[in-house]
Amino acid sequence: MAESASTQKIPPRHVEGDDFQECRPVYAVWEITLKCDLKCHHCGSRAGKARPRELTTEECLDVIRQLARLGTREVTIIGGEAYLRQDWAVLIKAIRDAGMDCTMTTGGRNLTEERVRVAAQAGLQGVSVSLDGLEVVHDDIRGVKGSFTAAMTALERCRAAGMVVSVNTQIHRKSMPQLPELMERIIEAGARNWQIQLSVAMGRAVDNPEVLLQPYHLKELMPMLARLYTSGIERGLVMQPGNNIGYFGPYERLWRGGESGEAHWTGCNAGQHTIGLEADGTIKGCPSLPTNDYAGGNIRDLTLEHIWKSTPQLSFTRDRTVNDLWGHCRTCYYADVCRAGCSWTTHVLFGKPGNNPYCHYRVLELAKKGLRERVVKVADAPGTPFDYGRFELVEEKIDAPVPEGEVIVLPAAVA
Amino acid sequence: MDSPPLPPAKFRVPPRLALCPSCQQHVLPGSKACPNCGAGLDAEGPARAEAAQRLQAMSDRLQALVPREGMDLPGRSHEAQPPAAFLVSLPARPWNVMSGAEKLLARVSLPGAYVYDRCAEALQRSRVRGMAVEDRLAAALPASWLLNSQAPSPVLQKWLGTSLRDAWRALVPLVEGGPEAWLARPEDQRRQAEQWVAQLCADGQQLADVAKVLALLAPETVPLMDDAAVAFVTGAVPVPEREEERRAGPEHFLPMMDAFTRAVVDALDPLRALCKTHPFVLLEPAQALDRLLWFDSWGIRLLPELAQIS
Repeated sequence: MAESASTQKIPPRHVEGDDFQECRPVYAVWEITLKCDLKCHHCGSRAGKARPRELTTEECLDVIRQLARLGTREVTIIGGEAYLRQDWAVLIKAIRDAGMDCTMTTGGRNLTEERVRVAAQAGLQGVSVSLDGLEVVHDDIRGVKGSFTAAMTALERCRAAGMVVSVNTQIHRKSMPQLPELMERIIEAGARNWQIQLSVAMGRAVDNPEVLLQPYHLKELMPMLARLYTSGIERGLVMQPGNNIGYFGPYERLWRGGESGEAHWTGCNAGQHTIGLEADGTIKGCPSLPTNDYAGGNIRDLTLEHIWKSTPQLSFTRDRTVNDLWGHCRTCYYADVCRAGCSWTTHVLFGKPGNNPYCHYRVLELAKKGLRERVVKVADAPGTPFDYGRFELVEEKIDAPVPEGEVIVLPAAVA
Repeated sequence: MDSPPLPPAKFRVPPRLALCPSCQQHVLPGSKACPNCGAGLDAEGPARAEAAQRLQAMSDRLQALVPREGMDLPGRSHEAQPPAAFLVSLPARPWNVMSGAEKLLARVSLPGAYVYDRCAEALQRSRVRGMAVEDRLAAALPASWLLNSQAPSPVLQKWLGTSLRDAWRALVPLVEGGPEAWLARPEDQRRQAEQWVAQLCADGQQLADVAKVLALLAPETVPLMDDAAVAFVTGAVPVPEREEERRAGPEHFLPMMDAFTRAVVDALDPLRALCKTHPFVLLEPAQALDRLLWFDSWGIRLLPELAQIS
């Protein structure tokens, strides 16, 4: 078996000077099917049934060749559930044969021993299993009883097969108080990485907005994450904040600082070093972005290189300047570096990127002025994959009464 | 698939930020002040490197002057390792405490700070041996000048007089016993302590002048409380432009004490580890946190000056 991603000196997703200048899509996230065996309440793509015209095996193999030519170094296959596609092992092997790392993100509900064996044989190096809380919360939010147990079993199977096992967790109102205990379970399960990200107001999450955190919740969330990060490191678990966890503030150097402590968030990666592919060949700068606004084209119509290099839907972050920002982000001290954080998180709230209230620095700055922000849903999502509704941003006094349902009680040990 | 020619392109490499030497948060190149902690950023990198070397020289000089080896002090452990970093939640900000051992070393290398800390250590021993509050007070009053107390000798004389001496005698037991004991005090006792402080400040003295005495008499609980530290911890007073600036009055005593003692309890393990490895003086965890507060709220601005002392 080839050297695993986590034991290489330079991780494939690490971005260096040439990668910036050449804008290489070093990391590809590929939804190889929308077919899914879970019914998650926060699913942005509303996964369940396969897309009407998903790519054929031959078309997928061509995509793999094109990704390698563009300089992609790691491909993460997702779904839906990637393993529900019949030829998934063929694709894994082709990715590895093309010289790229291959990993998978999964809910793990039906990741059987046979499927794990086949994937490992094909060269799958790492698996990240989704755990969105302890058993009751996870099963509830994933819409299937028993999905927590299945996910833990999948973790164990992948670990036994020699893969690097990781966990990814969405942080929402129900999972936030459970994070400390969840981390214990993750460590017990032998996971080495724990990617966390905020649940975002897309797809089914718009139908269930009561699960979403409010921006002001970051004031309690971020110190808790920092404590968990430190505790995890001591016990061999690396917490990896996703792209919508940030930005700057007291903990930036902790989780993005690297060995020198000086590395930091450098802006939304969509279309700069990340590329997202949908199962029907639609190409976006990030797999999470809403399709209607950010589809640069389809590989059935154009080459991947053309879509990557020449379409505004993929180049929007390369050309973004402070002038494209608005609201608090426009005048922020870090505006030129941060450029309003995760485009996805903001676009699905307000219909455009450039003003991100889910920012720890911003929350702290507002708190100094006795203020906080809340988002309030004013329009539903239409009900299609990667759809979104509309939210309004409310600025209010920090000591204004907290609406019912927004109070999150943290465990005493971390409060 | 018919694709048009692709445009050649070189894209922007994002700017690299530096770390504020005070709060260790990211700052833009060329910033004059840190947006997070307000620390001045005028010192250039080479000057800082030079300052670090000079600090080491100061430490060596102190080691030569004072025949005191850290590891020979009671409670020291050769196995103890100072923490590289730890987190403290303060009402005004989350505080990422970095390089604590080095910062404590820098501070104790200042002659006045060193003698003050030795004095606090001696007064602790005197307390254990049963010396009365008023006797310890008499020794603590002039020692408070070592750290720029602005209380002149007539005020010290008045503090030793009958009525105010009784205020000290009542106040000191209320703050003795450490941070947990303070936080467990009933509200009426806390308010009583605040009133005693107000009485001691009645002639125009500020909180820091009283605190610099209390921090000698009850170093396990009370911080020095210069305005820079009060601003850093509570945000209740403006960040001072000069170290000797005084706006924090007796009304800031309770908020500062509560926030400080909670922070000590919160960070007890890393603070104990720092104390165990600190050379030259015996420190309580509260003293260690207080000295680090001084460093990050004000001392960092003095790095070039600190470097000149040796």
